[in-house]
Amino acid sequence: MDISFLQYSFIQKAFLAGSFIAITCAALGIFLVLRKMSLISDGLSHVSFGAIAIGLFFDIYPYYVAVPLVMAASYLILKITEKAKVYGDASIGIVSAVGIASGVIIASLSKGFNVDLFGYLFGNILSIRTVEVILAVILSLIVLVILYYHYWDLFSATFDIEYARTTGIKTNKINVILTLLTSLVVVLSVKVVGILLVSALMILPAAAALQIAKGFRSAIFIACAFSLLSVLSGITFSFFLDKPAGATIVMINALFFALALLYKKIA
Amino acid sequence: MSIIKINNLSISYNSHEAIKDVSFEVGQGDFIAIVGPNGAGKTTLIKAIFGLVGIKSGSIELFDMPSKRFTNWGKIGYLPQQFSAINPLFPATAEEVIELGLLSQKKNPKSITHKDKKKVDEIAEKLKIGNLKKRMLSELSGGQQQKVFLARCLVSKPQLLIFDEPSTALDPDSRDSFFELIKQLNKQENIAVLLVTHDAGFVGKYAEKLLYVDKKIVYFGKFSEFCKSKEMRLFFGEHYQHIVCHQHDITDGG
Repeated sequence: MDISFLQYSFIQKAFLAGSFIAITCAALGIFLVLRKMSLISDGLSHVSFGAIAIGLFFDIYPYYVAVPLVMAASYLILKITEKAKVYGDASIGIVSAVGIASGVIIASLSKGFNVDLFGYLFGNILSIRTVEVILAVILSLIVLVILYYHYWDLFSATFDIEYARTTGIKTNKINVILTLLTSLVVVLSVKVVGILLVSALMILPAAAALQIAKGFRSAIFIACAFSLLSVLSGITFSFFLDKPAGATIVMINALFFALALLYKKIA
Repeated sequence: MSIIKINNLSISYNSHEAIKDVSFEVGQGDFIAIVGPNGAGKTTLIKAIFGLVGIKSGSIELFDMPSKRFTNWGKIGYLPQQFSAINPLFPATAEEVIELGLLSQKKNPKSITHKDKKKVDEIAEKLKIGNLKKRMLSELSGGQQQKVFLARCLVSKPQLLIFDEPSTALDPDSRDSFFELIKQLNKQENIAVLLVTHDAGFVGKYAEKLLYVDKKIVYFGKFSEFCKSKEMRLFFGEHYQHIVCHQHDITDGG
């Protein structure tokens, strides 16, 4: 393969931002999948649709609207589950539906930006701007540092929440942290794979790693490796084959998942 | 020093009273079985000790400190009910699970040091599961998993062990050796044990005190005195008293 394509600055930017986002998504994804919370990423991506529509409508940079709004929505999901006696999956459904509906209404108010909004649905990391790369790297680092800082508490609370409480771990705080981090990562991932496929970036590498990992730490590393490989190879294939990057990345992730399943069956 | 001191504790859930005016004390080296019918508030009592349910009135002291201010959770080892309900897909090794028992002594960012690894090795050797350390928890048998959870309890060198129905998932042989082990820890290392169980008849062989609770305390005292008590015979009937005391007689001689 001709590696001269690495000289293009849009490829470099896509590789850099994509690598950070891939690792962050996978590390967070392990906790979400094991807590049976993985669909929260799907729900929050729908909220980001509404938030991005608001940003476009008022001509504000969409991510500046999406980060706070999606974080607020994630907190709302937790609170609805806690206070209103609604199951977690139902409260995700409620918030995500409101997100989509508000996006559709706002889009219908303005005839001008429907094309832009459509672009966000599928993302395109090859068109990532420098400011978005910087944002992706900084926010990813913040998420990874917080994950590292709370690693053992997250592990314990994910393994057995009741036991974790008896060792003095504030599990409610851990839930809030996990949900807020998920909202940040969801917004970041919209650029890579688009609103419709964000959850795949968080669920697939984790689900694949869980097939073959022989320990918790190794599960996180394997998930990160799968995720990184699929984002880098996805960008490369999409460049050479002229196919949409987001969908290519997701298909490679799905291939890794299938291979992990196969390996587990054979080994 | 008292390890647990509970004074006039009452707890209610949505106006339903779960615990009513309960007082008792656990001292060093005590081995107390908490027994009572379903819904008697046994698990609620344990949750209250860990501050996991709100208290309506009364107080709980842990190691001579009000439980609200108590933070040294490493002094208390806890083995939860239904450990078999642990997610079978969870990819943790036995070693990683035991390490979770050390978290109560640490501040964020927590880390497991070389010294911690040694503590894990020691306790694993002691419980004869050293060879299972690198194995995945999901690959182990029920009895082996129970030992891993016991190691997680013991690794912080607690002075009090709290068990909630620890034998439900064990076959009779594993159950016997499990309780022998607990008795040994209780005697040799003077660790206090608080054991919630349905099986009063069986546990009388090991525990020295019986706390019979049915929302309020029905009986608290030595098994041997329970067995002699006419009042208890009247309350429970001769049959129940016999069931509880039968196995106790074997070791206690009366």
